[in-house]
Amino acid sequence: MKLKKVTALALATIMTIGMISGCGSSDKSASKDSGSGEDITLNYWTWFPSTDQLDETIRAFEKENPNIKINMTVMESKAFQEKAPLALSTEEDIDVVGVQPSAFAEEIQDYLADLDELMPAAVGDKWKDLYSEKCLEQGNKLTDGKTKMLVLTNSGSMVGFYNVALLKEIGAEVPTTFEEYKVVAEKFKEKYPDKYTSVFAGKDAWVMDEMMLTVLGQQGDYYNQWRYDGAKVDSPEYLAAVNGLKKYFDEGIFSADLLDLDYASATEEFTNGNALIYYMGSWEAPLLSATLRENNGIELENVGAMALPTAEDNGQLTVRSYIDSGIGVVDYSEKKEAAAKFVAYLTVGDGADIFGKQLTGTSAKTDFTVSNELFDTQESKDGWNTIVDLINNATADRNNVSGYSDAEGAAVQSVMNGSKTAENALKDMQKEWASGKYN
Amino acid sequence: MKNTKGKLKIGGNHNKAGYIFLLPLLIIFIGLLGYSFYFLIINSFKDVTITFRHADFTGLENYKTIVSDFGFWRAMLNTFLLSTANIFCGLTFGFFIAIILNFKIKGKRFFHALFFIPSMLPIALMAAVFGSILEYKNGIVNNIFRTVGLSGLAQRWLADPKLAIWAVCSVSIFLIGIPIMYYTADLTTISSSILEAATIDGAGMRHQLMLVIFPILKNTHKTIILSMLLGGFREMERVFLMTDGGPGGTTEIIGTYIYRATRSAGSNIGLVCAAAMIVLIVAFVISFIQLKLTSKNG
Repeated sequence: MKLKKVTALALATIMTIGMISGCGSSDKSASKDSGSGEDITLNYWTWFPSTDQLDETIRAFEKENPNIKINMTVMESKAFQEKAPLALSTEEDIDVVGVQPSAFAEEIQDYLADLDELMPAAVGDKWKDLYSEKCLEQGNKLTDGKTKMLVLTNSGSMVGFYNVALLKEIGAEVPTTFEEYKVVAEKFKEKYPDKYTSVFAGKDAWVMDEMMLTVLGQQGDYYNQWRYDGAKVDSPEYLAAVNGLKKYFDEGIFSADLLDLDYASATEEFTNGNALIYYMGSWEAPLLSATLRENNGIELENVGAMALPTAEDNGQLTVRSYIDSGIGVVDYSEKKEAAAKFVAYLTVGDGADIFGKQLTGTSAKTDFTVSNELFDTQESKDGWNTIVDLINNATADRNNVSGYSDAEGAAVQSVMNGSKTAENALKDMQKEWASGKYN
Repeated sequence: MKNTKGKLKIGGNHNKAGYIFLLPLLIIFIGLLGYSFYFLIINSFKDVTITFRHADFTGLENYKTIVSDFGFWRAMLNTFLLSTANIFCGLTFGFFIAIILNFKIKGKRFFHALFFIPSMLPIALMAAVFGSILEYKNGIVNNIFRTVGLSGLAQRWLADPKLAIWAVCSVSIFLIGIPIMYYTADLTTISSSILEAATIDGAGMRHQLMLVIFPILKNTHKTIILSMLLGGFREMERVFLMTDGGPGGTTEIIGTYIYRATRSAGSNIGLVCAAAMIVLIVAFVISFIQLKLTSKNG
């Protein structure tokens, strides 16, 4: 009996010690940095790019740095917005983190290391010569003037991706004006009454907002005036944009059926050949490349890209563009040197070019180019050049306030489905914006 | 006497042992629940992001924002609408199907299972299936109308703001398994002599149903009404997957409203907590009514 008690006591002591040591801080052996020559695993949390899109780049990096391994965790964008700040605040084992250039960057900036201190060691003192000045400025603006994130991709929205074969079948050119677009829609509907002339995810409020803001951008930089200088939502500019978007519906260019399609359904309609033009952000540019289409199981022959034809005659063919995805080093990481090496490789090193082949956006690397080998037709090559031009010459920033975008998109939906007037919807939106929910 | 005393003593010891066994769970339960309330209450007075850093005390500001938000009240109304649809389907279809299944019919067990299966399926699955069934262009419902030459009846069920909330509510008809189960259990407690007496008094089937059986099952009705009313506050997947609160926010319910508010970068979690507190108070009031009603019956 006594022996039993002693054994039980000893076991309890061992278990307690085990538990205490288990609950302690993370493995100190992992704290070695790349300089020590020992194996390092970097934990990289992000929402973008996907593991598939970054796979080749990571393999190339690991080949160049055999002692560094990348352990990538990718989650859906909204889940990432929610989980990453929480994980950082509890000092989870994260070394490199994706940074969304929005309120998210401001929210997590306290957990990000100053890259001005880390980058020189990783890539050289003149690293800023390799990096876009505009992107540096836009990124720094989000993190109190310090360089705490670098840009992976720039994007623009909304871009039209068109099915070249279908356009040729109706003997039409890429439309640039509203009238031309109307003619294309009529011709297309005549030949294919069951297909969509244009398709986008009208069921998703944020997509509806993007479409309306693209029309707003055609008339100038009012979006920036609203975003940075306190201009109003219930303004003649917004009214013209909402009514401008409605015109596409009223004139039969956009069908009311679009209000029933979400992102996946809209994409599917286009990739299955049931739509002539598909509107989405420039991150859908992989559709342009035959190789990438094949990798994704898309059987379309040839895809080009275009801007949304202007709602008004004096409008510009344009998109809103902004830094779209960023990357930063976690300040409490004990592997900051290795992490900076990885960040440098992706943003200003060879990794930027390898990753660039995925066509998910334009890079911030100054001498970034995309190999022509990716494009097998003139239309796809021109399409990529159109996207690059649109991103570089945007009239307004795509600096969205994500919660508000949903609310504004819902109001735009109400106007498009006829349940609200544009004036009333904008009045409601002004009230919503001033409600204090988005400050 | 000795025996009785002994029994009491044993009973007392049993109680003590019972409480000791319950204690860890009780502590965890009260601790977690207490902490959850504390967390909600404290943060509802703050302007704070999900990192919980740099929190600012803002007093009743979050409550003011929520209370003055039209979207919140619309979500509350839609939540009650959805609960009402659940209750209506439970009390009508659920009741009648339970009665029919109470007859000695062939394949009774099969039909029981058939009506109960949808209630066991994840509601997310049901919502996804219904979402695709009710699609305008490729949905089965509209395609059937088109095939039988009734194209005029094909509607934008989920995209028309006047129809969307009803389309979402229509799923309730497939969630009557639980009410059927409640009714079936209570129907077995009705003495056959009551029904025999009603038959002798000349009551037909309709009268027996509406004037005898339906009133007798009033406690079951109450249980169904209150549990479904409270269940409405836990609804989320159905709306999220079928309409995502759209079009234009017309199908937003409390579940999706709160979920959306938490999932925007840099969003103020204090607002979410304030909204949750208000919902909690409403749910408490409903629970209080439930307690009052059930204690009256007892």
